[in-house]
Parts: sequence; C-alpha cells; structure tokens
Amino acid sequence: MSTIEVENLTKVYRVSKKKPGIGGAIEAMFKREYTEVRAVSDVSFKIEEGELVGFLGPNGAGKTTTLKMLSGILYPTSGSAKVMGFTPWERKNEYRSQFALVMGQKNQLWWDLPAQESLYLNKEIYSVPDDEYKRVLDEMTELLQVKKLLGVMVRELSLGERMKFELIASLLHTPRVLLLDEPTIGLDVVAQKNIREFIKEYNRRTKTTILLTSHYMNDIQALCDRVIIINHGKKFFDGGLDEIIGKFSASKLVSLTFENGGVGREQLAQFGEVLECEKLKAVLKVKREDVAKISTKILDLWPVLDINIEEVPIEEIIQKVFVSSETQP
Amino acid sequence: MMEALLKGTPAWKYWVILSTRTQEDMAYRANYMVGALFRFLPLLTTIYLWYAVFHSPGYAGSGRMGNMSFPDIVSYYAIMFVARGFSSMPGMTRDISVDIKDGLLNRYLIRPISYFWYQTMYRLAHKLIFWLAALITFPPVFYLIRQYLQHSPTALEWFGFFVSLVIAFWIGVLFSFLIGCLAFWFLEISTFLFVIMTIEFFLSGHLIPLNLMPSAIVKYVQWLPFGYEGYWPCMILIGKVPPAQMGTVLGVGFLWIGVFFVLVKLCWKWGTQRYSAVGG
Amino acid sequence: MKDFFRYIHMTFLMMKNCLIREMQFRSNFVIRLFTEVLWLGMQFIYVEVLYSLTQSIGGWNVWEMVILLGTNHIINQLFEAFFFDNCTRLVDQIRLGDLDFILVKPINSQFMVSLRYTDYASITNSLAGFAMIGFALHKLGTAITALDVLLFLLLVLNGIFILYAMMFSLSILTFWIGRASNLFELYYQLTQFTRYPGEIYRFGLRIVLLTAIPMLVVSNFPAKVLVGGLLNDHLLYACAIGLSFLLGTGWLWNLGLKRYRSASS
Repeated sequence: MSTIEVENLTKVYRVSKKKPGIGGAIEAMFKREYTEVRAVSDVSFKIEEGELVGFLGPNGAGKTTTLKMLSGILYPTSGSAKVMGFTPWERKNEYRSQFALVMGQKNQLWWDLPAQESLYLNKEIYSVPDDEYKRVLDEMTELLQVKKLLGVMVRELSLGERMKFELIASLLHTPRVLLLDEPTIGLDVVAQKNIREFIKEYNRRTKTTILLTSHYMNDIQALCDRVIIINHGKKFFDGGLDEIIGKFSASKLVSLTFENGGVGREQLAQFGEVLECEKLKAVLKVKREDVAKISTKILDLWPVLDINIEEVPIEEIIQKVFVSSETQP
Repeated sequence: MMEALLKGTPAWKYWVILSTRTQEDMAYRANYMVGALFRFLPLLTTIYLWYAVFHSPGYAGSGRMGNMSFPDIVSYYAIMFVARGFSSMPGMTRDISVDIKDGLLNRYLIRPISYFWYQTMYRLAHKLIFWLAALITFPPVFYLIRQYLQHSPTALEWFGFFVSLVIAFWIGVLFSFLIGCLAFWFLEISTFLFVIMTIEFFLSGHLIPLNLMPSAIVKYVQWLPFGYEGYWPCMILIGKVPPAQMGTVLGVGFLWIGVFFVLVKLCWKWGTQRYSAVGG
Repeated sequence: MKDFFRYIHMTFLMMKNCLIREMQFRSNFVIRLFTEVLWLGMQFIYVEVLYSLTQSIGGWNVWEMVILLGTNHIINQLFEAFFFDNCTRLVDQIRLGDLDFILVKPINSQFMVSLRYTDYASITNSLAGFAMIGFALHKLGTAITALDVLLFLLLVLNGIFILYAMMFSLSILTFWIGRASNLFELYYQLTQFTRYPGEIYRFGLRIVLLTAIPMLVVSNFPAKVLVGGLLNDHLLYACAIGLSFLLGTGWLWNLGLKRYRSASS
C-alpha cells in the first residue's frame, strides 16, 4: 500500500452570484443564483514512502485544495484518498499525530510570544516526550541556524526566520508525512535557498514522505525528482522532471558563435526561429528532431567558432504547458 | 434612477457610498432579519419587571413613580427603541479611532471627500437599513402593547417629537465622531471608549428614565446632551413636556448640536494637523 | 482519564500564554475594572429605583435581588473571561477560513477554539460580584454553610456552561449564514432574561426560559442556593440542562465543520 493514495478526488464549490446595484441586492435577498466551480476534478495519484513530490501549477490550479483535502481540512465532493491508510477528513487523532502541514505566509505561531512558547505548546498538543522534544529541537534549530532566536517574539522575526520556526513547530513530532503549501512564497532569495536545502536534507535524513506545492519552478527543480502538474483542477502530468522536457518541449536552443563576418537573420531563419542575431552571435530555436541535421548544415555553411545545444528553460516549458492546458477540454 | 438624478452633482459620490454600504449589509440577509426581530426582547423583561413592581404585595404608592404611571413607563421604554434608532451609532467611534490609529485616514485626506460627511453618510445608510426592517418589526410590537400607549400626543407633541428625533441623530453622530477624534492624541483608547459609551448609555435614559434618578442629580442630568439621545423624545411623545416648555427643550437640543459641531471642527483641524505632522 | 488531565494541562498552558501576552499591555486592566464597576453600579441604581416603591418583586426583597445581581455579574464576567473572546474570534476564523491549523492537530478542535484566549481583567472583575453578594448576605443576616458555597459554585459553573453553549452555538451559525454580527446582539438580548427573578414572568414564558432557552437556570438557580428556595430536584435538573446543552454544542460543531470552507489561496 502506498503512503498516499488518491483516487478520482473531486471538489466542487457552489458560489453565489449577484446582480450589481441595489436592485440586485434586493433580488438576492429572496432568490439566490449559484454557479459551480470545479476546484479539483478527478485527480488520482500514488506516492510511496520517502518520496519528495512536487505539485506544480499556476494560482488557482487546485493544488492547495488538494493538499487541504489530504490534510483533512476539506471534505471532497467525490473520490477517495488514503494517507498512511487513514482517510484524512475523518480527522482521527491517530492520523493527525503522524502528519504535519505547513503553509507559506500563514502563521500558526502565537504572535505576541517568544517562538519557544509556541513550540512548547505544540509539543504538548502532540504529546512529544520531553527528551525527544529537546533532541529534535536542538537538531532543527542547529540545522536552520535559529537557536539564538528561540526567545525572540514572533512578531519581531523576519519572514524567513518565522518560516523556519513554522517548519520546526510542525516537525517536533517527527511526522511520517509532511505537506508543504508554497513554503517559500514571499521569502527573499537567500531564505528560499535555506528552506529548500533544509527540506531536502530533512527528507534525506528521515525519509519522511513530502508533498510540496509551489508555483515557483526553482523549488521544484531543486527538490523534486517527481512532479505532478495540475491546472484547472485536473492532473496534467505525473512523472520525472526530465520527462517534462521530453514530453512538452518540442524544441531545443542552438547557440552559435561565428568566427568572422556575421550571418544575416534571413539566412538563419530557414533553419528555425531566430531568437537572437547580433554581430557574431546567434540563438536559434530548432525543432527537436531536426537539431542534428540543422547543426551539421550550419557547420557546413559558415565558419562556426562555437556551437551550444541546450534545452528550452523549463520555466518556459511549464508556462506553455499551463497555457496549452487551458485550451484543452 | 438615483444615478440619473444625482450623477454630476457632488452628492453623487455620497450616494454611491451609501448604496455600496447598503448592499454590503443586505448581503447577509438571514443575519439581518434575525437582528431586527430580537431587538425587542428587553421590552418584554421591562414590562414584566415594572408590572411586578406596581402590582406587588405591600406596594406603597399612588400608582405613580416620579410623575410616571405604569403605562407611562412602558410607553417610555417602547418609544426609547425609536429614539435610540436615531441616536445610537454602534461602532462609529471605534471605526474612526481605528482609521486614525492605523493610519488609514490618508486615503480620505487625499481625496476630495470630507471624512466627517463620509462617516455621516455611512451612518445614515446604517439607519436606512435599520428603519427599513423597523417598518416591518416595529408596528406589530407597538400594536401588541397598545394598551399601554394611553397618551394621545397633540399636534405640537408630534412635531416636537420629530424634531427631537432629528436632534437625536445629530447629537449621536457628532458625539461619536468627537470621541473618535480622541485617537489623534491618545494611543490606546478602546477601553476608555467603553467607559464613555457606558456613561452615554446611562445618561441617555435608556436604562432608567432620567426623571427617576436620585434627586440630587435629576436637575442636571436632564439638560446634558445625552438626554436628547433618548429621554427627551420619549418624554415629549408620552406628554410629559408641557407646550410652554417645548421650545426650551428643543432649543437647548439645538444648542448642544451647535456646541458639538464647533468642537468637532476644532478637534478635526487640530487632529489632522497633528496627524500630518506625525507622518500618518 | 489521561486525556482529561491532558486537556486540563493544555488549558493551563494556554492561560499561561495569554497571561504572558497580557502583561505586555498593563494599562487596560485598571480601566476595565473601573468600567465593570461602573456598569455594576448602574444596575445597582436601577435596583434601588425599582425598590423605592415596593418591598418585594416576585417574592425577592431588595437584598435578595442584589444577590441575584451579584451572581449574574460573576457568571457573566467569568464567561467573558474564558469564552466570550474566543467565540467572537471564532466567527472571523470560520468566515475567513482560518481554522486550518486547528483542524490538523491531534486535539479536539472545539476545545482549542473555545479556550485559546483568557481575559484576565474579567476574572478580577468577577470579584466585585462576590463582594456584592457578601455584603447582601450580611445585610440579610443569613448564615451559609460550606455545602451552600459548594452548590453555589457548582451552579455558577453550570450557568457559565449554559451561556457558553448559547453563544458558541450562535457563533458557529457562521458556518451556515456568513457574517454573524447581529447574532451577538441576539445573545445579548437573550441574556437579559438572566438578570431578573423568574417569578416576574408569566407562566408560558417562564417555562420557555427554564427549558428551551434556560436563561433562568443560569443565575436564578445559583442565587436561590443562597436566598433559599432551591430543591434537590432543581439542582439535578440544572445540571442536566447544562450538560445536555454542552453536549449539544459538540454535535453542532461537527455539523458545522462539514461546511467549513478553508481560505482560498
């Protein structure tokens, strides 16, 4: 049995509509109109123990809604999910003591208290024994370098430091499953890097199953071998990061440096899309299958000093995936 | 329709504010209806309580307290609902103090809109909603207690009553605004506000008719501005204000409006100066 | 059993956290005390006015009425201390979808939302009520036993729980009807009925106030322990009502959670 098993999970919201103006308001008092929003639509996947999986999608794609159903916060409209054998929305204490949820930019720490008071409260909520608490706390604060900040009021911590303590607070009870919702959102570059490194290291050390949602490609690239792409509530892709390139990227980038005399745009255009063409340098976007053929031709025709063949940046690929998924049914 | 009438005039922006707020309130319909219905429960308690007083064994008295009979007292408390429907401004002072404290005044100060009139319109909108519901809920209640509404007001008394309601609204708005301005000078005023509100509540005659207060303070208490927020409208309509006195009573009411108006203008001027100096 | 002590321990922890927090804002305390004494004073004046014409209202004399006043004060203050804030915050938490973090923890969510914050000023304020009762008892010349005190405190606790059940139930109506600002007014209006002797109400209303909306059980019953007139049956009945209302909130809470809409992101 997989650690996380999701089958045809669906969440539909009813949202009320109102006509504008006072007339509409009066009408709304007596008769309501509703539309349906399919936040999550027939999503299925399986995640094994110890995996670090990324949930990628633009805003409003349904990733957070899925995560919240796995946390037991929301009830699905239909479908099933099992985490460690439990149905999350039954909210059994046994389940809740074994997983943790961290949401970027959302605080569970008490604002007007030193961080350690909130941590201690969590310890008691999760019934973590004293010695284990001390051990885990030491280890985490060491790893995240926040030991000196334990006595500082939460409201006086920087965003990055707060996030670190949020993570620690959730990991005190050594959960088997960790759900992260946009953990690096709003953080500066350095803090983002710290958090990512921590998550990777934590996963390596403890083999905790981690499911992380983000709309930052950097998070996914740094941490996840496996990516699930979601948009408009539907699962679009489930597989390795490198597979994305192969499946969704139709082209490669060919960068050329010429020896002497440049080459005109029009001359290069016959081989592919000219992205850049200045003096001695040019960049072409060439169809995948044709790369070898075209490269040979170019090398034959002109004196090339240097030729470089690269993948289209994954950001761009993903963007295209999101856009193309909008036109699909 | 209002759009056709008002657009282009300066009043248009105030109408938009009014209607937006009205829509906001109407959006939560169930909540709204419930509130309107249950406002009258205290009247029930009051009637039973005073009934118990006037009809208790060992009762000593001529059936009157002060110059009020049992029907007078019930009428008083019932009409108090109407009066307070004009003078009470729930949350106004707090809203203003929050706007000042949190530096939110800026968006009003940079727009060609007067903060005071904005607040007044907002409160007017609130009252509109209130009275819309009240038109459905008040009449049945007054019908149910009609046996106690024994006094038939004269034309003068009706006139005096309506004027006093206008006075009540203005005193309510001006006083709340004035107290809200204290936030310009004092940082933490929320609990101080509560003290002021409690005193205002008490001195409006809401809990006890002012003429039944301990004799030492009765004379002064009736002429404070707060009496106009409840006590006077009620007393006028139950016939306790002789025609000779009507002019004086209403006159003093307008006097208080004038005083508060000046105070508000001053406080606002000094306050905003200080506010801008501090950087908002 | 272990669970019970765990929850008591959690309650003390959260109270401690609140105390640390409140100690940062000290000036509030004194002003709050002053405000509540003021309010109590006004009610006292009202009672005086009522009794200037008569010796007894519904069978209660002036000092017995004062005891009722004091009892009501204590119950309301203690209710405010432990539950009022939490209930008002709860409305926003439900509306804005802020319950997420509470729902994922292995602890009873109703417990967490109900006891998270403690208002210490109200705890101190309740002392005024005790003082008032003490004074009135002295004026009456009644002697009370330790058992009386115990029963009194038990029924005070019972009264607090009934108030909690009422306000909590009203607060979580937010799950169904959105903004609930008027609901607190409803709570305020209904609790008016706790203030005065039940004997003044006509039969039909009195029955309602003893059963469906047991406002009379809240303050009248504990006060009667001290002024006399409380039978054992009444005692049992009061506790039964309190308990069933409390359990009712649990059921309602779970019902509401099914409609919980987390904040969008």
